[in-house]
Amino acid sequence: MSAALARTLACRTTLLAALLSGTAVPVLAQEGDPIVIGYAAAMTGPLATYDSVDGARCMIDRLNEAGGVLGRPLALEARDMKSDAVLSSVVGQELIDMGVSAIIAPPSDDTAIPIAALALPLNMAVMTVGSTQVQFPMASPTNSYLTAFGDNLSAAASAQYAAEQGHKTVALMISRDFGSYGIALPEYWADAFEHHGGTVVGRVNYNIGLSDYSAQVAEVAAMDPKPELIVGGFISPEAGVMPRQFASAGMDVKFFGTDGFDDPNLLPIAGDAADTITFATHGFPSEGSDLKAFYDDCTARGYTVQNIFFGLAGETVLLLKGAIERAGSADPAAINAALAETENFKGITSGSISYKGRAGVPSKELTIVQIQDGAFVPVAKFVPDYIPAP
Amino acid sequence: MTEYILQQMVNALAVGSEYALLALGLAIVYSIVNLVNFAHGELITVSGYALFFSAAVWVQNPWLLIALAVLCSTLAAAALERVAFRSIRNASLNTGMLTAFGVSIIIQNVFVIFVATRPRAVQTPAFLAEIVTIGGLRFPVLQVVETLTTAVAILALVVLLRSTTIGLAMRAAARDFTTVRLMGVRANRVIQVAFLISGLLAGIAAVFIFSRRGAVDPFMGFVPVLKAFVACVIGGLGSLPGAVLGGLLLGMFEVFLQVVLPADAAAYRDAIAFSVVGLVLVLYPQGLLGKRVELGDKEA
Amino acid sequence: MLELADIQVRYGATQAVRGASLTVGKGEIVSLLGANGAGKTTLVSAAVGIIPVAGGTIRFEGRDITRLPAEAVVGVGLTLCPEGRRVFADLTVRENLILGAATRRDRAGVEADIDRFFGMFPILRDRAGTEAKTLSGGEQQMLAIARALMCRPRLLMLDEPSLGLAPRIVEQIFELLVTLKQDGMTILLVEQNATEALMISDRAYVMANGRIVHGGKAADLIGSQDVTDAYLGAAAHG
Repeated sequence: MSAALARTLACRTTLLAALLSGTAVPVLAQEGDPIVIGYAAAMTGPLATYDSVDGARCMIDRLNEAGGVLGRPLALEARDMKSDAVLSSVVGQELIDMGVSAIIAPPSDDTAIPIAALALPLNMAVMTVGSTQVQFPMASPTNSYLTAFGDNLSAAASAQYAAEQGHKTVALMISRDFGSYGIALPEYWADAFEHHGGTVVGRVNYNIGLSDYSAQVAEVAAMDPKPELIVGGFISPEAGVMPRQFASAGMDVKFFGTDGFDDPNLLPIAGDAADTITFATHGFPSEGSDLKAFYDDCTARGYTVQNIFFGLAGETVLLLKGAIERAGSADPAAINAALAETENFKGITSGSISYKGRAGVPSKELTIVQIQDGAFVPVAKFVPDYIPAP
Repeated sequence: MTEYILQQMVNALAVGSEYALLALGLAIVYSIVNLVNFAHGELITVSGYALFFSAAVWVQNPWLLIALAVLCSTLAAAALERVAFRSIRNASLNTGMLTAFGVSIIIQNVFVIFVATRPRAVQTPAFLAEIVTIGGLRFPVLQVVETLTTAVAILALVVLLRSTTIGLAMRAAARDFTTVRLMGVRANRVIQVAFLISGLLAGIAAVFIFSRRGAVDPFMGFVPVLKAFVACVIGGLGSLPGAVLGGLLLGMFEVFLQVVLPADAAAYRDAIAFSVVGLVLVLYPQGLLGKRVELGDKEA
Repeated sequence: MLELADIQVRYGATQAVRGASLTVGKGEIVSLLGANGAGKTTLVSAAVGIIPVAGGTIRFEGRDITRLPAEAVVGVGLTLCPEGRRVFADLTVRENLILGAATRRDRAGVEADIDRFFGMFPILRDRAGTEAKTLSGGEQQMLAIARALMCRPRLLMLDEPSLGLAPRIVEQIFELLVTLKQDGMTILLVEQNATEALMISDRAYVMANGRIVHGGKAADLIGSQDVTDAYLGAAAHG
């Protein structure tokens, strides 16, 4: 065959090969391509209060304005998993298939564990914003991280404060409807409370749904001795409904708990009963704090700061940014390795966060907040003496 | 101890009454139109958002609040009938159920998109949050009023169904719609009234639900309609007395289990309740008050 | 009084009535005869507006009522006592009658009519407070007729009133129809029981396979071979 024909043939064959292989070979990320973080968020449903896509977005806006990470902008792919564990897996897989560099998972162990399992083959880091359940990183220790402290830590702080305030008796309220927070947290609290000399008077089971707790109220009222305190892993709206119903029944009890109570939305729900609540949480936007600065800046950018989880979400993104920089790449496995080595990282809710050697459960300070006259007031800040084993 | 038992009996009655109200609303539509209206729960959510918005405009008068909640759910029910269910009126039972699910999802997401995803506080009548002392025992006003209101509502419904032409038409239409039309009664009118009644009952139930809960969120309608459906099935789908009986039994049984089960087993409350429901259905496949349909029976 | 012209009725792909025409004059008793499945019930159901017509016109007292739904047709004076009686089983006898008068506003008149029917059918008075499902077949038929009359129609159509009833009861019912005619009622009677029906009718039609195949004076049709043929299917098909 003639040279010209051979050249044409070669040309066309190469073109054809290129076209065919173009689908098989991934396009290499170019300079300037965004680093994408996936976020399987509880935008709706009972867990929505404890997640914050806005918090993540605001932090990403700030970081991109300061030049991004590794010279590339950060981008967020957020999806609503509707507080449903099954949908969480579906959404998680979707994000992994999109090729994200890391995933932020929903705020409970039963919704986050499946995503960590799906991400494990890629060694991709899975962080939660609002989850405090140590059961989550325990299930998949090499790639799961809580941004928040573990339930055992917060329960211990809350219980210690209660004991120090002179309270002696508690009734626990337990629910199996939304993961470990409803089951394990009350037990951690009881463990720590008993360690400090308190007594558990009884345990009462409740189911969320129609929010009629008159039977539970009656059960507690019939306990002998009557408990001074009620402790439960309450999430919104139960965090407001429980105090409301106990107060309606004329019962004189105080409520202790952890970050489930940290939501201003519960104030109108609880009404006057809100003043019975004390809880341990992630932080408080006091004057001059990094948290307040973050809130103020985001508000100026047009975001609405709903509650502490807004700050936590920002902190999650900040932790990821740190890991990406140390890893020097957007590769999920590299980021995961770098994240696991985090030591004394300066966050927004806490001045020093470490993951090194802690299998995904960070060491952090806690703040105790009490509701007084319908306002959130920080009353203490410490690390508890005794921490129950998970 | 007796005070505790008495208190729990009042609780049982109140919860049972609430389920009875919910079940009755569902049953009245089913008996006439052969439609399991799974969007019934959304009628309660609508009332809730009405109460939420009333908080924004500072409506304080409790009677106004109650009227608002009931009015909104009734209008919503009428709108549902006109917009969603009229066109599929003669379709199969499955079509009806699927349409109802679809309507339910649409309404839920309308609230998610246009109002809020998270629970919002609602304004409810203050007097319902009080305690009343009867015979030396203290009872929440809400429970007493709830039980009484349900009884009155049921009575009113009975009067309507027995003494008014439209009531007679509704009872007759449950078995034989075509012949009712032959009496000159307009089909549309009968169905509209059925939906209006179901909306009214949902609104009344909503007042009590929100007085307890104090918060509304887009997906909260699911649990009430599920309870209502189970109650209807227990009592016999299509039977109005069955719906009331099923609701009372389900509610009372739930409270009973709450009281009786030790803390370890308490988590199995729902599992036990539904197992018992299953057992009831094995013994009474048509429900407790449902008619046993023998093969070959000529249904009108 | 009633004119059905070239009525076509379809059930899905099947043509149940293929161009049927009949008339009923004021004060007459007209019978519509034919075997099971001939289309008689379909035709009267279409006439009263329960089933939509695919073609043809229905005129009542000169007025075109072809497109009127059943609820409205009853309002203009035409009503149907349906096949199988179809009394409201869970309602009492009294409630059945009250519902029959649903279109009326005059409570006193309704009560008076109920009394009158109780007079005509004493058995109904005895059972006034019991549920209709407890009545015997014959009693239910009386109730159904009384109920149909409660709206004071000018033309009463009855679909197989003798079905499943003992001969003695059938006789009673047919006597009743004659009495009604004497009081000024116009009647269209659909029947399988040809002989009995013809004996009280002025005119009659015979229907087969969705068409009217014969029509004429009742006296002429009694014992006629055409009628027998129509029943046994020897009449022309298609």
